[in-house]
Amino acid sequence: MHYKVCGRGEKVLLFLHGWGGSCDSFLPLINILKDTYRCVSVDFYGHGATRAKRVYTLRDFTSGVREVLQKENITSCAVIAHSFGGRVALDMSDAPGVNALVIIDGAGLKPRLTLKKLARKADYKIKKLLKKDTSDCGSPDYRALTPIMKATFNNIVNTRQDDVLGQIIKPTLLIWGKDDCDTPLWMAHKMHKGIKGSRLVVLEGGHFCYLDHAFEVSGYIRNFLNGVYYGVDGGGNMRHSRGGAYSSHAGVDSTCGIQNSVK
Amino acid sequence: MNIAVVYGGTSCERDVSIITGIQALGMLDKFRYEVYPVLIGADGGMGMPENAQSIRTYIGEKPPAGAPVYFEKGALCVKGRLKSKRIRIDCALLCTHGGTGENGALQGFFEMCSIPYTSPGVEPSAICMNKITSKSIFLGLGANVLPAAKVQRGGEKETINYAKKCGYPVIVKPARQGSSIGIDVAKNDVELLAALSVAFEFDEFAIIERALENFTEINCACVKSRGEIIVSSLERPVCWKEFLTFEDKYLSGGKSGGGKINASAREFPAKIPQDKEEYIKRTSYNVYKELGMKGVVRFDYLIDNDGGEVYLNEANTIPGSLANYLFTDKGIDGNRLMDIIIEEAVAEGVDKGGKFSSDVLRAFGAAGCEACGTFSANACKIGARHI
Repeated sequence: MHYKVCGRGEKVLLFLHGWGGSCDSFLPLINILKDTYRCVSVDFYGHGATRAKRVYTLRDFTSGVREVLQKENITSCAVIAHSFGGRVALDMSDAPGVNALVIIDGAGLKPRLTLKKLARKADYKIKKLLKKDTSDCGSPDYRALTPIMKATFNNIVNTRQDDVLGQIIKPTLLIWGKDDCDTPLWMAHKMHKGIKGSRLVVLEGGHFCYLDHAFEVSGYIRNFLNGVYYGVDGGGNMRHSRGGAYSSHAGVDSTCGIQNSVK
Repeated sequence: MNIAVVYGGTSCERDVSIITGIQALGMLDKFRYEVYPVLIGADGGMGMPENAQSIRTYIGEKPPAGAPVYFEKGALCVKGRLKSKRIRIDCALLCTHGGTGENGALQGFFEMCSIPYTSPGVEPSAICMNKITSKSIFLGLGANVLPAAKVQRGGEKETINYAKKCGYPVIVKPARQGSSIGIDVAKNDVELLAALSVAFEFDEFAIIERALENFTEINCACVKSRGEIIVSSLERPVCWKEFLTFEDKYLSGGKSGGGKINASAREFPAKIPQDKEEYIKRTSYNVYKELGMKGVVRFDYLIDNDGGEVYLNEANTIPGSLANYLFTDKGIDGNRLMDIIIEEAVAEGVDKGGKFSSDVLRAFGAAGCEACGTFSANACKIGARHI
């Protein structure tokens, strides 16, 4: 697996990009966070500068990332994952070297069946039954893939990680775009409910909200990780964002804001 | 934990303070802190602006809309239409630069209110605000400072003599202003008189010293975390004309669009000879420790490139942006720095004096009645212990 390292600091951030991205997908965040953190960003198999040699499963991706950590002698890190990277993050959440998880618009939960999806599925099944050309079926993402990556993609999307949530004991920060179409907001709420003690931040924007609000997101990450590494002192007075005298999202829809999972 | 972020104020550095305030509001962890912005208006009144984190709130002639607030013992009161709401405040995060916000006055106000605050206390704040007092104190603490003279209105003649003695160019500063405001370099008598009249616009006292012509400015900050003093690495602001004007210091970032003070050109960590670096760090540590400071304090040094001397120029007890960028190489980001100063302020508290009970009043009352039915003028004589 190809990867890039930059920044200084004793604490390490491991960046796991989304499907179709590369190690540079996090560049705006890395550029901000590298002043106090050593940032390691990988190219997943079949992405960026890492070639896909065979068909992979989610486990292969996780072990690939572990190899990178070993190579860099990293024994402790915080994982920052977007979309597909969130699947890998959930998969490696029980690893001893992982101190904390930051999941941004992460995948991994079983999607809900919508009418649109049902129609698409039916279309594909009928075409297959009638032995017609099915090459126009599937998402544009999927159609653009090589046969190896198509098989890998099938492996990945059919891996359900709903059961993992309850087992996560690592501090977790969830950052979500309010209008995310790929991994809708209900997934964030499900993860938030499933992962004990997790923090949820809902921002304006879609699946790539972290690029629109790079400064804000890095601030949330810094505060979250400071809490993880230095311990929460004096406070403990966790709150729901609603109804405070002051909200950081003043003027924004009231569904945006920050929420702590009930312990 | 309830935090009041106090910013604005009546000083010349009000706008800079608003920027620091906005930065602090952005950096505080909203999961841990309930944050209340308190803007001190240009007229001295306090209010809680709506949409406090947006810079647009503060641009324009009209003061930003928001409920008026005031502090009382341990709490912030927000005036409502019918009744005011009382909010317990655990700590005040002070982002007020210059004037009464930095000279100990506001600090004393919060001590009276029993609200812990994040800047150094009344005494060090007052000392560092005054360039004349601070020089003698720094000198007493063993720091190297540039010799200077204090000038009062009407003392122009003596000033010219002093300038001639130490040699032009000289630099003239108002005694109690920060941020290069009212500071001017004079190369001859005429310029000196002009510079003095500018300085007297800002303060009744001015300070005059030999201007270094070829020098390097070095900044170094200290912060106390869990009782231990952390000394930052050194920073060298790179952008230099003849000297740092107000615009350069604070508005240069604005031209590039970002408006980030942090983005102004600088060398960090600064590459200077090791002995000078050690001297600067040691001096900063000593002054911070001996003056019993807390919070972030930025010490500004001048290195004379001709003579090689290092001079402690001034100490900023509430530095711009709270010097949050100076600790990053130690793994402390601005967000952590906010936690550190709040934690330290709360741990130190405000009630430092022990409880003292006295029966002077009772004795005085009894003695007064006994003697003539009225109070005696000399309490000490009539039974009360010598106080």
